[in-house]
Amino acid sequence: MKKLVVLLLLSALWSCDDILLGEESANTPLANFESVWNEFDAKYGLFESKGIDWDSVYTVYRPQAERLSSDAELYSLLTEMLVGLNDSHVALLPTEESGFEFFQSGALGKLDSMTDFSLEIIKENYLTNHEFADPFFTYGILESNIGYIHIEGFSDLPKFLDEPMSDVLNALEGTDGIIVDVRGGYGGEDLAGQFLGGRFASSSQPYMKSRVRNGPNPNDFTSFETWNLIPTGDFQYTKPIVVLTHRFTISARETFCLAMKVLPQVTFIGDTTAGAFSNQINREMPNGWGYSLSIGQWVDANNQSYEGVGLVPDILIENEKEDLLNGVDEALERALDQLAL
Amino acid sequence: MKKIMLLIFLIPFFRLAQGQGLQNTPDHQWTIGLGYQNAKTFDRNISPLIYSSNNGVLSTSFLKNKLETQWTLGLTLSAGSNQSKRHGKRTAVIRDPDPLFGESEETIYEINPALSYVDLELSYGFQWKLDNSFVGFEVYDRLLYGALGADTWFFNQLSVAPSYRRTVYSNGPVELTIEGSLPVFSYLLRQPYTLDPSLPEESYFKAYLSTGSSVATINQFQQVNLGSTLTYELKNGKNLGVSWQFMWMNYNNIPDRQLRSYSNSIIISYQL
Repeated sequence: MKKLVVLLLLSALWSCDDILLGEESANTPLANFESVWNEFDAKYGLFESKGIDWDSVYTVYRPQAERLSSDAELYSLLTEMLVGLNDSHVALLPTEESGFEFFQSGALGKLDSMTDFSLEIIKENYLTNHEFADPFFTYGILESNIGYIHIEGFSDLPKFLDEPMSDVLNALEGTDGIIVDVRGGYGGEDLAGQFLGGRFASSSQPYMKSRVRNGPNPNDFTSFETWNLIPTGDFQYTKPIVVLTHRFTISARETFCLAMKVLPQVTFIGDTTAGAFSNQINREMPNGWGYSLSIGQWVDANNQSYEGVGLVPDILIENEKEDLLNGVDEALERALDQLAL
Repeated sequence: MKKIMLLIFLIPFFRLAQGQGLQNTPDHQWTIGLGYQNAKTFDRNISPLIYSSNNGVLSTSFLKNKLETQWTLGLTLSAGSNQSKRHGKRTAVIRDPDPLFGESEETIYEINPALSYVDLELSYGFQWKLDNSFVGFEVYDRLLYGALGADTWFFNQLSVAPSYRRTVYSNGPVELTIEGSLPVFSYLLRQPYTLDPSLPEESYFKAYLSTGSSVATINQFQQVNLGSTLTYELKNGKNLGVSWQFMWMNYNNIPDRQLRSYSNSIIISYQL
């Protein structure tokens, strides 16, 4: 009898997931819809900023979800629902085997490929020589003694950026101005942008506030954290600066722009940024597809939100694909003109 | 109802120990072990999917015997790949249909491709000899670090647990022991995922420590640790053992989004 009890026990402890863990969500189109809607309902941080009534969205789409009979219909319904959020941090990533395309809401969802920027063209046609400071910085000197820094990413913390950024600015200290190019690439850590921005700041000042969802109601948030731009590094570069942006400038790149925006010597040139500032989290559905969502409110020091809108540059220049194919970066050339004034 | 069923299963396990004797043990001993672990995790705050990982296990422990007491110090590392139980390995593709130069491009993302689960435990146990068994307590820190979906996930517990061990069979060189512990007081760190990980510290761990940690007693955090070891004394006087370790836990600090996990380990150990 004891042996039987032990065997039963071992069997139960090894394999009874339902008892020991609880049941997984069903993998039906309706259950997948419910899973996504509920997660946004619990965690999405921009309903208030965007004036979206998520319960109304449920009222519209839930009856349709009940009638779903295929993954294709589910994909179609979810993308239709999520496009209304106009948020480039909201994305749907189906599994490869499903055959459905990666979907992105917001400004980036309206774009296909990045055809308005190429670092290679700048290296070949504009920089007399160029260096690379690991992990992110391509830099060199342009005509008229103007420095150039392209920041490929913001995904490292300040302690990893201090030395390479010092190398960059030591090399460009004698220039008459710098173009900081945050086109291309991807997002990362807001702390990285805060630190890098500090290399151009002569005094401390607030530039951003952030708070995140922490409760069931759309307006349940933590208290705002204020982000200050603080002078960093051995010296601060305070001569004229142009920051180049475009529609793919997103997330931590945009919060870096918020930091640079408070500096008096900075002019923004290029195209409007993507308009997705908040941190995002990744989630998955019962059917294995992935998705992402924004979890909070990121605003400037005056509580102005640019979510879904983006930062409009001081001088709007939309690069054309044909110009780039001919080796011309119009936004960069306009930046050179600006700094030569 | 399911919780009650589980407890009913556990009761006879403890009752097995009644009326058995003890085997003599050396003054002190080092033991190393090698084994296999299967761990399953269901964190409803992160994913609607159960994750399963098959891990290799390395362990080492030191045991010190005194007349009426004994203490042990143990370190166990389990590591392997963590995949959705339902879907296994998955891939996803993002296409760049019309890049500035060249043909269309694809970036393929593979979910949890390799090492994606680590279970690290450091423990200290002190027990008193009481009749035919040992009763005492354990203090242990257990870190679960892995990947759920496409995100990094971790859970850390520092717990104090009453413990019990008993020899249930002893015949010549062969001995079978069982043991169990139930933490009553724990300091837990569960990453909240609704808080900015980059704030307010320059370290994810520090940020989560300040925003995702709490003290929990048995009403909020339930855990069961069970084990059984079959030991055979070799001709050189050293012990060769095979042990089974089971852990189950339930943490419900977030309403309707509890974290549950359990693991089974089989470890072959050798006394140095």
